[in-house]
Amino acid sequence: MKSGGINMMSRRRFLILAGAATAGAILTPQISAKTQFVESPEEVESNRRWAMAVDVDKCTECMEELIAKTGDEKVKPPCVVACDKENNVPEFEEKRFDPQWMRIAKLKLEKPVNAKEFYIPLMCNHCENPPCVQVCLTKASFKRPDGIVEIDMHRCIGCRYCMIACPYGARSFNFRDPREGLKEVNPNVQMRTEGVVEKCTFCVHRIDDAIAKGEEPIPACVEACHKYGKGALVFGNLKDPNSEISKILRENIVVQLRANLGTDPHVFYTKLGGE
Amino acid sequence: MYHKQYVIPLILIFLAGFFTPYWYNAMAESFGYVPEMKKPAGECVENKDWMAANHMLLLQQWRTQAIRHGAEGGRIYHSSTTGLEYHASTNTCWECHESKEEFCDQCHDYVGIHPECWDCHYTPSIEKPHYQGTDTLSKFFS
Ligand code: SF4
Repeated sequence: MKSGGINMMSRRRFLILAGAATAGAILTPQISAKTQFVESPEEVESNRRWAMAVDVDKCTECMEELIAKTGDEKVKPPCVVACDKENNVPEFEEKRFDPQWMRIAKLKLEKPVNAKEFYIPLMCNHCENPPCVQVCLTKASFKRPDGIVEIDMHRCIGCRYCMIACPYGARSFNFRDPREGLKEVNPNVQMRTEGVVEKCTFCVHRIDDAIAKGEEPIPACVEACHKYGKGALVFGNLKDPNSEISKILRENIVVQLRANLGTDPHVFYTKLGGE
Repeated sequence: MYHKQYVIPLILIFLAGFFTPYWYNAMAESFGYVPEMKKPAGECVENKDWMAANHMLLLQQWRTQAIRHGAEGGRIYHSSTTGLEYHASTNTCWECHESKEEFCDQCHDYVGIHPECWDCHYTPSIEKPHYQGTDTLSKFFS
């Protein structure tokens, strides 16, 4: 009995020592830096909500001019070229492998009188209730408090549920190493790798930079549209009643794409439908 | 003790093997190979020794801050060594460490690990022209 007791003691001591050693090995020095942010998520939410407005008339005008000049139905307008270059979006010959953040769609309004053709840009709408975020298995897709829907590429496992969930076809999958399709690199935006999903981010790096500097942010497509196009795109903060976009939304009849689905997309089309 | 002539040498051989890392490191300076890293052009965001041990933790924190909390000002990093503010991005590293081969790869290759950061993130060894902003698009559009 006695020896049994001694054995129990030593076993317990052994376990304590083993536990302490394991804890010591696991609890390596943790990061000591302070994480203090400028604003709380609630403050951001009440201060900023990014959105875009598209003047379909101007957009159509720009596209028709470009097509007339180049004779190419599939010509890329300034906004798309700027987006591709800014965000390191690769270009592949084979269209089914070619990721696209922004593209131009041609719509036909079929009416007996005043039949018309439109061109509108399509991109991620940064929905208020994004279905892509709801279905994401790994929480790689998420919505920031300022309304931008972003993908954390480090967590994306490439399951492509979000591509099926998105009603706008805004997301693309990287079937190939994107570097093969890049002629120029923008060091400020990370490239992607084979097997992740990507989409428009409203040029989130530009927005965060501008906010930190106290400037007005402007995505690459909007900048290019105003420089080389007709100025059809307007980007801004919906929470600011004096911003240009708030005025546009107040003074125009705006159309959201597939608004019946309840996603509340935040790319607004004005003058869609003609008259 | 039985079989002293076998047991004691074997114990010694075992101990020599067991403490390989210690004597190997002690001798490495004079005999072996020590990774040699290029001196960076500036001061690091944190203390050098702390960085040597914890740079991956720091990068992980930057990643979470910049992506998940970008809207709240997460792209700004407050150094606890210098108290200065830095942009939480791998490009901040490249401002001082001009070469991946002569800095990162030295140790990583030596210990045989291959971080996947550079599958996507920019490094100075990418030999492609840099995009210079929307102004350069004037060659496509007038
Ligand atoms: S447009 Fe598609 S990808 Fe963008 S937030 Fe809405 S559902 Fe998600």
